[in-house]
Amino acid sequence: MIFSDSPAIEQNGILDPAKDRIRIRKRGGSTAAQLSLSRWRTSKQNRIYSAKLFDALRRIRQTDSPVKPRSQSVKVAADRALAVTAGGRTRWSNAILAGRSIRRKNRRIRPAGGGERPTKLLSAARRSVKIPAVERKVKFLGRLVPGCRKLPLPSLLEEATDYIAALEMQVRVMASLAEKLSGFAGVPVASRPESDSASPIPS
Amino acid sequence: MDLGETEKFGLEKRSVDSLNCNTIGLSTTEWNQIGSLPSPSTSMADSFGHVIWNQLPANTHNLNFSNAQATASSSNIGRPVPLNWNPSDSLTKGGMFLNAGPGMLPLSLSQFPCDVGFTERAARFSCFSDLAYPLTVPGTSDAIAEAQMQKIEAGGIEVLKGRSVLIDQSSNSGSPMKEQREKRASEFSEPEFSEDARDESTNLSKGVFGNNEKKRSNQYMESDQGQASSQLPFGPAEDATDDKQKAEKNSSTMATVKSSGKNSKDSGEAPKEDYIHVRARRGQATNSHSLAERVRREKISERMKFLQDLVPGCSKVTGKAVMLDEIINYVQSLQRQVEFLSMKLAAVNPSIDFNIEGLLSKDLFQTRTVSSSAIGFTPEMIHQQLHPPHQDLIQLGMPGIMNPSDAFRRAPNLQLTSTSGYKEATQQMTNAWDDDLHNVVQMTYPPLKTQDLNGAPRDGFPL
Repeated sequence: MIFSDSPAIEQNGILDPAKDRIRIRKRGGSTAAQLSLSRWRTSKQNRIYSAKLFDALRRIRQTDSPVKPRSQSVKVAADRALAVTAGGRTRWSNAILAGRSIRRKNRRIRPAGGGERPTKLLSAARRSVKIPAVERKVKFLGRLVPGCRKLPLPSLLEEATDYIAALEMQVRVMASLAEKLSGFAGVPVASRPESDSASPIPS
Repeated sequence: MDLGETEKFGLEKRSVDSLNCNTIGLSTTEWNQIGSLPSPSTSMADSFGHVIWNQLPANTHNLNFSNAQATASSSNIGRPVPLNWNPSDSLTKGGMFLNAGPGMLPLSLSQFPCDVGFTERAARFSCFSDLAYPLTVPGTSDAIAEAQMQKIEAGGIEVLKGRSVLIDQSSNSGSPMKEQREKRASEFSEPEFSEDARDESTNLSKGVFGNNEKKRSNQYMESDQGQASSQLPFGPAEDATDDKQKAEKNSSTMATVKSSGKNSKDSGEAPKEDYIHVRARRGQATNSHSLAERVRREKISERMKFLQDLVPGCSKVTGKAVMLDEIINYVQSLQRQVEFLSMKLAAVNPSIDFNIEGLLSKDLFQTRTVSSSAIGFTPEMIHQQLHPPHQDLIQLGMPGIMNPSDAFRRAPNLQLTSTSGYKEATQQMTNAWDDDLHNVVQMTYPPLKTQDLNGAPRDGFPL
């Protein structure tokens, strides 16, 4: 019995590394898009994002500014944390990190009174022009993804793929964090608004 | 006194007649040159001349004979010599007659230095006559000769007197004058030949298209020849060589111009070749454009597939427009969820610090659970699997001595593998557990175990 057990162990030991190698090779052969998707679904990224979000929320609590509503500041912090987690390797993450300075510059450049009329005229001119349906939808998608307004279609689709995966992770982490905080806070479930319970959050 | 005056008038008339005779003599000498006579008769002519000169008023018959002899002597002397000599002789004679020469010798002696100057002037005149020679026409020369003969016949004695005088003077100063005249003739003849040679060479070098250049070159050559003749005798030759070199340079420059023209044509052809090459490039550009378009389409289709997999509800969608709508809607829904959750987090109570610490601890627990779930075992399964090895160890310890030792050996191995925490270790643990389960299954069969146990003590007891 003893001798019969040892060759089985050796055989299993030999086969397992081969399987691991095969798996590694398959993973190495995947494309950039698949790698980005798998990256956002790993636990490491979840932990990194959650830690950064904790730090951001702590700072918001400490520096409670009366000018901006808290919800807006929390959203901005969450987006910036997501961009930092992405590592600045994508266009949308760079756009989010640079978004505040760009907005300020735009405000300084355009005066309130003089800026409104040209924008109205431009919007009217744009509405008059008819665009094919597919092209119109592509432009709309470009506006939804940060920093991808003037990209060609292949690049836009790539950025959109990465952005959607990142948003899914963000929603997942924020939902779990909200549940935990609400549990520790001791808020009863019955007192919560109906919209919270009715919100369809994908798992 | 009266006789002296009459003699003076007579001398004047004679001088005038002698001048006329000189002009006639020139024409006669020309006539003689055309019809040249043999040279041996010179001595005879000279002797008869002296006789006739001494006996002028006496014999008319002798005068006619002397005319013939004079013509022979003039032809023997040479063409330019008598022409040059006649006017000077006539002038000297005029001087003698006017001066009323009582003594002949001193006047003749005084004539030698004067003759030298006159000979030089005659040489110059002979140049003109030499230049005039090629321009003469044979018909005209014959007419002139006939006119001279007629004058001679009309003139009579006066003409004969002039002839005799010319002959005597020539006989007196023949040898040195002849040499000088010959040298001058040779000097003047050389540049003419050199000029002709130059003209021919320039004509050959320049060819058909160089008429104007020929004329200009001739003019320059004439001026150069004049300067050179005044300075050095060999100057014109050097000028000729320079002109030849210039002609060669001109031909070389023409060749370079032609070669440059060819080069310009080649450079003109090059852009045509480039144009052709550009056409080829256009074809290639079209091909590359089609390839690029193909690659772009492939990229788009690939990424659309990823989005289909990522976005729920797009797996069955085929149209591009519809798919884009689904993607847009999904992104918007995710963004709304983020906004809602941010509002929810903002509404949390201020006791966030304590909560965060607790959350961190729970996160650690979740990480453990996640790691276990990743491996594929739930905590319950882990607990269930942990119980059987203890039972096995207990059961193995009861029947005999050898089995417990094996069990103890296996137990630390299992613990070591569990403590390592690596994936391979966990896999080895699973294998070990499976083996234990097999052992348990085998142990559950009592007849086999009892038989083995019964066999073992019997073997032990006989020993």
